[in-house]
Amino acid sequence: MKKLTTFFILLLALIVSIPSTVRAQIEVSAPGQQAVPLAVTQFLPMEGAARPELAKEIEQALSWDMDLTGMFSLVDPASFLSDARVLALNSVEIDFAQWRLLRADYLIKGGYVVQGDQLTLEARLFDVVERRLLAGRRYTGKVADARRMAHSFADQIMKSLTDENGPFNTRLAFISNRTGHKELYLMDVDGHNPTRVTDHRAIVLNPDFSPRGKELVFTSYKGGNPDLYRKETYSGKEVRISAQRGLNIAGRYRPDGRELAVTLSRDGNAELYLIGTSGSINKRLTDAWGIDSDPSWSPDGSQIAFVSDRQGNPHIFILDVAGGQVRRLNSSGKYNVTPAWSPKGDRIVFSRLAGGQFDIFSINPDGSDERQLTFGGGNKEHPRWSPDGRFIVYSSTEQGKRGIYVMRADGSGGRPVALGGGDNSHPAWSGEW
Amino acid sequence: MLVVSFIIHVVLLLLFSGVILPKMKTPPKPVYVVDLVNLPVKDPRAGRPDVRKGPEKTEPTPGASAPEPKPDAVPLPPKPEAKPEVVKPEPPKPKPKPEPKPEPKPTPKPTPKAEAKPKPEKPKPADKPKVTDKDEASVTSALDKLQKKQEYAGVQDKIAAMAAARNKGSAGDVPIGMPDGKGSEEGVASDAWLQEYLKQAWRLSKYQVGRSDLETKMQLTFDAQGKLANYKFTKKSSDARFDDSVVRAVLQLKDYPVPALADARKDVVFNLKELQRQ
Repeated sequence: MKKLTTFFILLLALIVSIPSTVRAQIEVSAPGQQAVPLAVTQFLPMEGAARPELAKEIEQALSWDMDLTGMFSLVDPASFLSDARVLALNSVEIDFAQWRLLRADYLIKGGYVVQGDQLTLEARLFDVVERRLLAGRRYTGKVADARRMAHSFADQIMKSLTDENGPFNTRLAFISNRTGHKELYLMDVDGHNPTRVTDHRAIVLNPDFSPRGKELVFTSYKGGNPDLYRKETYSGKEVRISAQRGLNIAGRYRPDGRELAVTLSRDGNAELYLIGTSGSINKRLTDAWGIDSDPSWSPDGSQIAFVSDRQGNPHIFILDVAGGQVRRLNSSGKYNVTPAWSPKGDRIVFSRLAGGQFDIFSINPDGSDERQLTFGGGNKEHPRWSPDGRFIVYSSTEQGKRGIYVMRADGSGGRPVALGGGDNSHPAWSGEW
Repeated sequence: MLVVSFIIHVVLLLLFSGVILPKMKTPPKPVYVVDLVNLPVKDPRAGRPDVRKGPEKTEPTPGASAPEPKPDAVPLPPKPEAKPEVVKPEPPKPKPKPEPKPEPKPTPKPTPKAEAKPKPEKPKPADKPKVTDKDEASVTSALDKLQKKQEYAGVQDKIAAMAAARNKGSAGDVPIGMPDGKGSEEGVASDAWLQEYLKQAWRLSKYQVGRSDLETKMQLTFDAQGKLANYKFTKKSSDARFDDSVVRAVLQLKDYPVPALADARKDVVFNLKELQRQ
């Protein structure tokens, strides 16, 4: 008995002594700052006369893009020291100590040369802490393309810091009635350079980008019936691809671009069909008494989320394209519409009518983890994803008139990109442009 | 009756189990954690970092932390400044005080320049009653001696504090501070300080990394001055962005020698547990 007691005492002593021999770990369980300080300097002339308005435009485009990411806190340009006014584009010449003083972690610098209407832009991203170049690009083009060059460099910055390209050098399509008719428009992601694409002088609806190029499909009442059209933005060529009796609406390209899911009512009831890019009907996808519309493909093309009122109110259902099985996505809410499947496949956004107002929600494709993304007054509708899945574009009436807004995928950082000139709605986000 | 009761119970059970009425998730509220205790202090005073607060310590060691606590017991003129105008006994004393913090007492003498002796009326002329211009030299040398004595005492105390910190013995009546501190602010335990410093220096956006279950482990080695001498990963996360951000935070220790970390080796784990809770 005594031996046993001694043994246990020794064992206890051993156990107690073990922790003292192991060095304690210090745990840091979250970054102190979740927005990384970034300094965006104004680009300087590398030769020739300075063009301050051009430099300002480039800086504004870059700052807007960087701010939307939510990754950065922009260092106030008013605090910049002398290095911001020096054309130093390599890590040897840059006075990083100044930027450390301002607590910037990253630094964007650049220069430009303007010759006639030609612009050459040199842009650099530096790591201030490690004093090294992270990304550098030279762009040449027209002076009018300065903003596009800046957006393109913003994409490079995202690539450099996250390993995934950014979506800034892309286009937003939307419908606006600023001419008195609902026409299709294109604009930059930050709302600049809006251009009208159609002149149908009729109702144009529901645009979608082709995944393979600068092509759009949309519905137009140009011929009196809601028919489906395809338009090449680079050539201006436009063809009517589906003119079935009744509705030809909500055309959505399959991710491989070879077919489209579309709502047709040729047999009386609005159903989903699979059609070829020339309009040939390949397959009827749904067959229910309710209206089936607003299809959105899963990224692998195997499933389609769509809206149907087959159970009374409009709700979102998931269709297995090969097998034809349909399941309801979620049972919450009484009026869920306009689903959009994220390019990464992990979430579906949609808008829900509740309390007399539309708001945007997101949910896992298996119906779990539903989250409300928008709050406050006004209707938020027609959500669509950016090609990288980081952002969502949608229409909102929160400032009175219906405008186009963008926000991050978690619902933060919402801001208008197209507010003026009539009613703007039904946005779509292009792929790489 | 029993059947009705049974049915009602079943219906209620179904209602609240989420089968019929789905549970609506409210968006999680962000949690902000502010550590007010371990914030790195700018001007740590001498003492032991690991002492927990007891009934207010009397006074730190009289040595290195001379500056603030004794306002009344210091009628002594601000040492070297008194010299210039009258006599210059011996050139510039090789004053050992490392940094100029002689002005913690703004009170005793306004600007001593013109009439350098308003002290006669002071209640505590203490050991040097009359300081005439002739005695100035002897006063200053006495002050220097006193200061040296105090500094010696301070060094002794620091050594004692460091030894005590190593031995993890009882706190005694040592004040809360840093072993090599000379300032006026309470320090904290070096591990807690390091944790807070690294947290503040670590900048990473949740939009930069795709997952929140990342974790990386590092071993930090400090040199004799308490500067970061070396770091190495003992475990990397699967995300290079995450690991890069950690390196950037750790590298900032190179700019900030912390004597309390002299010759130390620390294992640090970086993860995103707090973000997972949000």
